Amino acid sequence: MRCQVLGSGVWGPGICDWTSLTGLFDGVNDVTSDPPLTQSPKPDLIPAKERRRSPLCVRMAVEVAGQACEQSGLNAADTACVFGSSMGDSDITDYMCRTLATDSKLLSPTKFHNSVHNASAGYWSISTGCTQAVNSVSGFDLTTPIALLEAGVFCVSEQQPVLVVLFDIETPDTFKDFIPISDSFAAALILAPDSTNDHSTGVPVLTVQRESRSSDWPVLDLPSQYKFLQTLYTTNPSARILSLLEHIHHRDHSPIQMPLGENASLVMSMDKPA
Amino acid sequence: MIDIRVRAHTLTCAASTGLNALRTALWNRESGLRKNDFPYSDLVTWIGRVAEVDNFEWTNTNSEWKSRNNALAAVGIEQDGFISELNNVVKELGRDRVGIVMGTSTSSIGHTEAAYRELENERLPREFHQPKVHNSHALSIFLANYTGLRGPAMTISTACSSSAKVFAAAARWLTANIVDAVLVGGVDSLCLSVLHGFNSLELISPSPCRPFDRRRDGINIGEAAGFALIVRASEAMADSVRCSGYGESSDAYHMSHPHPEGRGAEQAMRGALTRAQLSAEEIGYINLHGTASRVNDAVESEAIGRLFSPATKVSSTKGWTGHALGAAGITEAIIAIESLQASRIPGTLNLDEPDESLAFPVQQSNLETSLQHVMSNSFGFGGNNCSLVFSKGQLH
Repeated sequence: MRCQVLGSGVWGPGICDWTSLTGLFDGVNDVTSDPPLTQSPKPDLIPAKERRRSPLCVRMAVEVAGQACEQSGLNAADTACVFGSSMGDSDITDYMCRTLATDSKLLSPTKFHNSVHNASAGYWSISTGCTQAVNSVSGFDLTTPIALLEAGVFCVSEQQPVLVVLFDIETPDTFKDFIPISDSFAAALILAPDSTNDHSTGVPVLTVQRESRSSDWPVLDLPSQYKFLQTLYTTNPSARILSLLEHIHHRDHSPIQMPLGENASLVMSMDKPA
Repeated sequence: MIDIRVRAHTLTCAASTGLNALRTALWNRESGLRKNDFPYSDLVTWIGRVAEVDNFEWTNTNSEWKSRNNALAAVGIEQDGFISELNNVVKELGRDRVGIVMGTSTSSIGHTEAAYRELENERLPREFHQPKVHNSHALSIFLANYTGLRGPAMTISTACSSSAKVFAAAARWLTANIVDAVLVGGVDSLCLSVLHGFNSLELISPSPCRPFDRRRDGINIGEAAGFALIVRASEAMADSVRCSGYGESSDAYHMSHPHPEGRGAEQAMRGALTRAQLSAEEIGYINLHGTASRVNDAVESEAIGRLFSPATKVSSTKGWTGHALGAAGITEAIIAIESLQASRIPGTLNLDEPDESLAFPVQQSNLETSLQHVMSNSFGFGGNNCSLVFSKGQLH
């Protein structure tokens, strides 16, 4: 499967956009704390009143999706989406389970409808007027390769562009003993059929394949001063996309393999410029 | 769209464990709903509960998977010789070439709720340290382990359209040659999150639900486990049911209210018809989303009225099963398939006084009629919609 990468967006510790991420890849960002603090995302796409009530999961997913769409020049209203999250909104899971352990069990109706895994996808579609197919998927620790596979399959079989968004927040303390996600992170890419742009435009072209063999996660070669980024990469399932983003930044044409199951891998590589 | 087929299917829901019991319940009009007796919930409502799950025994060797949702999945997939047909497909195609796409809304959150009832110093007790259970993908991980399938596994969680969208995803996986067969399905189990969550939205009925009735006053929550084995036509019998169309759309309107004119619902149905290359007149039966919420039924009725003539038979089967949420898509896809194969339409249980203000007549009693193409609708929170079309084999 071949797709053009038309846009990208990212938010996380010390990362508010693509430029700050590549500054980390290149080792040029000053980082004063570990992990560095980042201003909470405030995507303009969500009306201010709604935004104040919307959880971090929603705001960071909409933020990165907005960045990617803007860069691509595509109209978000017409672009199908695949949202991927290992855990969904684990803060709301924590709230729901805590409340349901009390005698009254009185849940907030807003928190309840925000508890669905597709809350971020729903807010995105409402904010942008997107009436296309919107998906919300999980692969637990394999969420990044599963969502990329699904987006690639969608793009190629439906022959239309697709926004893929990955997001996972830091897990609540109650989960940390067995699912320790250290920091919140979100990223987005716009994939489009390979026929969208002429190859001379310099748009990266990604070949995505599923192969029947096992694979380890790629080693992410990061400047040693950013320990938090390595921790993020290994604990936050959505941050596994960093290896692909790093390849895109460096125009690295060597293949990236991610595990897709016991005996399955997702293999991705970028075309060399003609 | 390539010719893809349903090689095997099975359903366990409140009305029945397995297909034979389902047929008996449908054609004898025996509801599976009962007064709420779910532990820890004192809500005055009716629920669709699968009793076998209460007796499911976890042993020392499999207790890492323990949850009501996984137990329901295990009970469901063992019905109707489904596992044996799955094994045949694995022998033919290899277990690396069979993928898994499951739909669920709440995954194993019922087990997370149980863990929170026993918090020790703000930590979950050790017996609940089950990373493979307390996450959104738990159902698919469990089924991959249970069946030994090694193709890619994905969980779709788009609220009440989750396990309808699995057919669309499977069709694309087969088209893109990612796999040669897909185990699709959905499992959602009763839990306090949905009972008390829908109660917070004032959407729960204190009585058995009455879809499209003048007096309808809300939904009953149900649980269900349904599975289908989806293959290309070359891997199925010529007369096996064809998954001939799917349509996916978004309302882009509100998180928990449908678009007032049913814009997204109409778009999903149109998409499914276009993909199936069918006109609206060719659909013999539509299994409606028909939750018995006042607004949802009115909106769906209006959307149907813009697309179909009143000669098209439509009904809701929520009176048998309750609203199985993330498992509603597969539940009703299988009921639509059963209708197609039996040339019989289940009327709408508990619809005694049709709401005359609704745009479209809804079938009350069961009806025998020959069917070539049937549709199933699923609409969820976030304005997430999916319509499916199934057709008799040996067409085109």
